[in-house]
Amino acid sequence: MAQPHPIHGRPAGVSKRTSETMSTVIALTGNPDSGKTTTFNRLVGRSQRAENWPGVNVERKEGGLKDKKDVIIVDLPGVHSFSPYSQEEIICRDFLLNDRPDAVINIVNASNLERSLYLTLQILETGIPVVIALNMMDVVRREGIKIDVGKISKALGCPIVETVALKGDGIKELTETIVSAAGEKAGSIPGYSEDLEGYISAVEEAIRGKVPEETERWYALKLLERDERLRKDIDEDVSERVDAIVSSMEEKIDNDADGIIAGERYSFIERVVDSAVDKSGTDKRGTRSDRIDRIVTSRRWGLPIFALVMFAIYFVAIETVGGWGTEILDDYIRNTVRPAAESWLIGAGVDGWLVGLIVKGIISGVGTVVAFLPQMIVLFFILFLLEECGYMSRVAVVMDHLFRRFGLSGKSFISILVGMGCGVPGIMSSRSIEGETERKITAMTVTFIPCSAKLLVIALIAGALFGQSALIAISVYLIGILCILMSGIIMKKWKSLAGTPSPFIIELPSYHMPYLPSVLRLMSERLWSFIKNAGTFVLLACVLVWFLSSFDWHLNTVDAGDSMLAGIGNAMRWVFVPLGFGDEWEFSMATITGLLSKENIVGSLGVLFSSGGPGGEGIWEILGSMLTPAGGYAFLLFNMICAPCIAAVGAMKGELGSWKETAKAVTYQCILAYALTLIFYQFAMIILGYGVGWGIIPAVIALAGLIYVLASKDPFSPFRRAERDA
Amino acid sequence: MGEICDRCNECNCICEKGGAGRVYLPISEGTPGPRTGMSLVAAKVGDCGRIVKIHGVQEMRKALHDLGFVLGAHVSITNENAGNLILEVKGSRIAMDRAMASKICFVPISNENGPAAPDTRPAGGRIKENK
Repeated sequence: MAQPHPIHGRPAGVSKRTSETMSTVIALTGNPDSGKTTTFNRLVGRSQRAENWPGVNVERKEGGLKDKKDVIIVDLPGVHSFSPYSQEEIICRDFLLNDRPDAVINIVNASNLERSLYLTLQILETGIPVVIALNMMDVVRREGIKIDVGKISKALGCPIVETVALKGDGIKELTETIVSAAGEKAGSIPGYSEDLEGYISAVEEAIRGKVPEETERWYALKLLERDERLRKDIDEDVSERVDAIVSSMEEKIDNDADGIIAGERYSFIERVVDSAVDKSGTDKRGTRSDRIDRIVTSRRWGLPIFALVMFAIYFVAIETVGGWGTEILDDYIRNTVRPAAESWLIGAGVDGWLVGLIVKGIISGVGTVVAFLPQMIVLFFILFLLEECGYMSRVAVVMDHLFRRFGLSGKSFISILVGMGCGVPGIMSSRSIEGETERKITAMTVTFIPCSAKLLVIALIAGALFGQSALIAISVYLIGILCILMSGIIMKKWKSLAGTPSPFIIELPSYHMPYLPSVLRLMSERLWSFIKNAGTFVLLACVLVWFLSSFDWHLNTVDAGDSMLAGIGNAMRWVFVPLGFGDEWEFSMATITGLLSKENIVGSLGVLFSSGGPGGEGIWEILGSMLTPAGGYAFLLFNMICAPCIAAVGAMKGELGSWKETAKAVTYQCILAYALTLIFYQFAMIILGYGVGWGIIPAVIALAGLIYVLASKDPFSPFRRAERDA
Repeated sequence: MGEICDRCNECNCICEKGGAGRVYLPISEGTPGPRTGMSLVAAKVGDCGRIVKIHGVQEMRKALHDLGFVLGAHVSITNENAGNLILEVKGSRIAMDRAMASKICFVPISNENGPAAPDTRPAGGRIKENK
């Protein structure tokens, strides 16, 4: 099966294929919205593995073909081109060039043929056999477009299989075609204009013998594009010769090098598409997607529609469907599982301390967290639905104008939406933002928006102190967004983040029906990580909290009030006294355990307050008697804004690149949380008529400081203006 | 100045008139008059034309080229939202802000100058008649 590759003269620093040398390896490539993931799932089925590409935070998926397990499909990140600017693009080109898969499947979005073929041409240039899966043929037929597949196939010199990955059409044929293509040599590579071909062969001649023969054309074209990354692989004297060729080409054709080549590629594509595609049957009013966009992204309706969508997410996931599920599950765990387990354990003659550990530690703690599963399921389902159907990029367009004023990009809002589910993917999604400033500010601030784990805390406080008022949750979301915008203003004044506002550009894919299995798969991945988290971090923290709160330093069984935990908590609670929740040690402990993961806040309070009599007081009543409403809201506020869980901090480090910047971001978050909570609590006390305490002094100072950093002149604005005008 | 050839991109000239016997005019920086094109920000929704010049730094130009904004490409403005333009180029929809759009110059195609339906190519060249 294995095809030995006639590889000679590999450039330095290039590794050979390490895994599965004995089996056939096929790379799956395509544009981000081509239906690549769906096709991958269709080809591979359940037997897929996911890990990260070495050294970067980009997921790598691979798996054996459904009916031919020795054929390994590697799912490459979705890209539009092989330029050397993004991690995803570099991963793709390095894999094709260095690992030399036996064949490449290129998923082409038939409803966006020209853009998709731009990548196809670059794949063909790598000299690897290519099979095109012409996907979304159903959309094309519905729009009344006719495509002469044979003509395109002939022009590109590679086989094409028509597919509708959503329905599974054509997948069998694709499997057969790719398996037979893997054993063959690559077809001929399309030629460009005579002028350009002249320059290409000149470069090919210059690099002959320095690069593998079958990649000569790839190298030649990329070097003509002035590709910085490839230049490093080439000797100094050769690259000087190449530079001379490129310069003479630029002079002769009077355009910049990559403009010339991109132009050639697109004009080749235009010729192919002209001859093979008949659009005479299309609707004159534009595609369905265009007609939807005319309303969804319009000046008048864009924002109202977006607000409606946001409200719908909240209403369905938290107030109604998800909320009902959580209520039922919580009730079941508290009133059925817990007493049943307790009586069963006692009946079985288990030691008292073990009953305590299981019932108070594990069931009360983990159970409180698990009860939120329904809300999370619904929330993630809706968010993934929005992502799959193509609405997310419209959100960026609608919000860009507003966010730009605060040093953020419209794409930041995509991160915020994703972050409502979980902060980790929220932070990672900031990667798609072009401008470094906007990207970093987004990664540092996106966790201000409550994630699904923080939802637990909101529900707890709203239930215990505010009669389950929906206003609490809504206010916390609004404060989260406000904090993000405020931080945008503040952070722009940091020296390391003082960049020029970068341009905003985003592709709007056609709307399409979400593929339910894909949504379900994404959802189950998220839920699985939630359950894993509940089974490890939360369980561990609950057991630890139970242990520390049940014994004193001499390991005697004591009331929680005399326990080790109370000792630690009492030492720390003073910090939170000005914030209104420092009078009892339990809340400072809960805040600390929340740094492990935010579910722990609720989990550890569940453990600490599980000592109510049989069937007696629930955690709500106990909390209600311990905290004033102002103190409770302050507790909530602080935990929403302060440092996120360690998983999110790790993700932040991945995006910011250094621990130093990450530490700076986390410190900033904690200071902001402390300042805002202090201001809130102290002024709330005055307004509610509790009089003026000594805490008002730091609160006023904090408020003055906040106003100062917000209102002070941006020290870098003159530079920005100068750069923009240049 | 006039020069006749087969396709726009092959001689890197701009196409002023469509149809058979098209006339292509070479462009160079500083050529006065409408032939240097107008910036996309100056266009209205519904306008369409061909790209004649892309300004800006190398990396940004490369990104635009990859997206299909190449010389001679047909571009149309399909919508506008609070400062962002939604463009159609090479069959796909791309939203960009005015700063970015100002870097792209195009020569509008209208029904007044030149024969009817100057561009009949279907590839991304659907001409909007609305407005």
